[in-house]
Amino acid sequence: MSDLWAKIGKLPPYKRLCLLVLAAYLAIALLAPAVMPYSARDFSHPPLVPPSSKHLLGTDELGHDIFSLLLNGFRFTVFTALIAGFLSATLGTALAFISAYCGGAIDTALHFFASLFLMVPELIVIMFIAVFARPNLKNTILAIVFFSWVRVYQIMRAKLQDCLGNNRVVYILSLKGNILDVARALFLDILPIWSSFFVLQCNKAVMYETTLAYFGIGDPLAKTWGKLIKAAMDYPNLYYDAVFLWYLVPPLVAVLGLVVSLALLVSGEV
Amino acid sequence: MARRVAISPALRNITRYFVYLLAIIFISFALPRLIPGNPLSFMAGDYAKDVPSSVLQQFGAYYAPDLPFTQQFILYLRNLGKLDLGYSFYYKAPVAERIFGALKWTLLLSLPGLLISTGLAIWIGVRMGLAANDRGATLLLPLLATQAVPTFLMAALAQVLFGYKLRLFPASGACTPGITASSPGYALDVLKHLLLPLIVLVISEVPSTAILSYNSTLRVRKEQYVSFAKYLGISEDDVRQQFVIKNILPEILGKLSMQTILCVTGSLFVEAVFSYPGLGTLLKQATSYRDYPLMQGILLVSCLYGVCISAIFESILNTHTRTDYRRKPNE
Repeated sequence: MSDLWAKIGKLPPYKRLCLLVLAAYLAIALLAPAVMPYSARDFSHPPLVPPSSKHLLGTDELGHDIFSLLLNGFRFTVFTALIAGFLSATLGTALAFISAYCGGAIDTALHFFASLFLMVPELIVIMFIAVFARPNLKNTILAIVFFSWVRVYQIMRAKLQDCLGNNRVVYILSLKGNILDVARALFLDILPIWSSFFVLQCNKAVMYETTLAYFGIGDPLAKTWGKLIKAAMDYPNLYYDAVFLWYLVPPLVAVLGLVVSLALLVSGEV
Repeated sequence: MARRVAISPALRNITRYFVYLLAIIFISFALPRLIPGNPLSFMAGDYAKDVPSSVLQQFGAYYAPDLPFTQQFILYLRNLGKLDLGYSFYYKAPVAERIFGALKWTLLLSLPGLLISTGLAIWIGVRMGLAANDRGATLLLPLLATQAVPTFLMAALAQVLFGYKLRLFPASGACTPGITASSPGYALDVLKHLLLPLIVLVISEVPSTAILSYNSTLRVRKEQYVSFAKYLGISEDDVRQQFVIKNILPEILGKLSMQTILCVTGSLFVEAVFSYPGLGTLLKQATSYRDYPLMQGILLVSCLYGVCISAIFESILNTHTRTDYRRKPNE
C-alpha cells in the first residue's frame, strides 16, 4: 500500500489531478442512490422548470428531475466503462498470451483476425451488433468488448514475444514447460501495460457507449449521459432562454471530465 | 530462386487481401443471422406489423430465411454480384441506390478532411518535435485531451455554439433547401454548409497524427545527420524539409491507413449531427428505424472501404521501400 502512495507521489501534478477526478467519479457513482433527491424513473414533476432549490438542475420536458438523471448516469457510465474496460483489456492480453505462447497456426489465425478487425471501422461494427441484438446494457457491453480488444492484442503480442525470449522464461520452460507457470512468471511484467490499457479501454468504452446512446441504440430504460445529451439536443427549444445551461451542459461536462481524465492519466504510457 | 523471392510477397499480399475480402463479405452475411434478435426473428416480431407487406415480401425474398444456410450465402453472393444490397424499409428504395447517392457527400467531407488534417498534423508535430528545450511537450496535453473527446460531442458542441447561438454557419444540411445544382450560387452555398462540419472533422483528426509525428520527429532529431546538418549551418526550414519530414514520412504513411479508416468513421458521426446527407445520416436513420437492410449495406460498404484503404497503403509502402532498395546499387 505504501508502495502505491509512493508511486502516486512520483506522478506529475496533472496526473494526480486526473486520479483525484476519477476517484470523485467513482465515489459519486457508488453514492448516487443515497444522494439522488428523486428516483430516475420518477416523472411526476412539473415539466421544464428552471433550476431551483427543489430541482437543482430543473426538469426535462417529461418531468424528470435532471439532477437525479445526471447522478444516475454516473452509475451507468462509470460501471459500464469499468466492466467493458476490464474485459477488453483482459481479453486482448489473454489472446496475446495464447498467441505468443503457442505460436504456429494459432498465432497466425489470431493475428489474421486482429488485422481484419483493425481494417474495419470498429464503432460501426459495434453499432451494428448493438442494433441487432436485444437492447440491454449487457449486450452493449459485450459488443464493445468483442470489437475493441484488437489494439491491446497487437501491442501485448509484441511485448510478450519479447518477454518469452528472456532467460527467466526460457529457464521455466526448460524446467516444466507449463503455460500457467509462464503466465505467473510474466504476470508482474505485463501488469503495468495491462493497467495502462485498462484505463485506455475504459476511455474507449465511455466514448463508444455515449456515441451508441446518442444514436438511440442500447437499453431504452438505462438513462446514460449519452441519452441525456440526445434528449437535450432533440428538445426543440433548447436554445431559447438558457435551457441548455442546465439541460445540455451538465451531462456534457460530466462526459468530457471523465474521458479527458482517463486519457491524460495514461498519456505517454502506451 | 531469386525470381521466386521477388514475386511471392506481392502474390501473397494479393491472396491475403482476397481472403480479407471474402471474410468481410462472410461476416456481413453471417452477423445479422447469428446475433440474437436478428432479422429472421424480426420477421415474426412486433416491428413487422408497422412495415407494409410489399416491403416485407422484398425483405423475405432478399434474406430467404427458410433456405438452408449455404444456399442463403449463395443467394447473398449472387445479389452482391448484381450490386443488389436489399430494399430499405425507411426510404422504400433499393439500399445500393441510397448508399451510392450518399457516398459523394461523404467523400466531399472526408477526403478534404483527411488531407487538411494530415498536412496540419504533420506540420504541428514536426514543429513540436523540433522546438527547443522540449517546449513542444506542453502542446501534448491539449492534443491528448482533444483526442479523448468523442467526435459526435465535438460536432454537437460546434453546432450549438457556431450554428445556433452565434449563427456564423448554417447549422445543418449540405445546401439551402430549394437550391439545386443549376442555381447560380450553388457551389458557394455547398461550400458554406461544408465548412463547419469540415472544421470539426479536422480538429478531431489532427491530434492522433500530430502526436505520432511528434514522437517520430523526436526520434529522428537524435540522429547524427540532423545534428550534423545543424553544425553545417543549414537553415532550420531546410532541416525540417529535407532531413526530418522526409524521414518520418514512411512511418506516418504506415499509420495513415488506420487514420483514413478512422476519418471516415469520424465523418459519419459529424454528418449524423449536422444532418449532412452522407452515409452518416443514412446510418442514423437506419439505426433509429431499425432498417436492417440499410444497416447491413452500410456495414458492408464501410468494411470494404477499410480493406481497400489498407491494401492501397500497403502497396504504396511496399513500392516505396522497394524502389529505395533498388536504387542503392546504381548510385
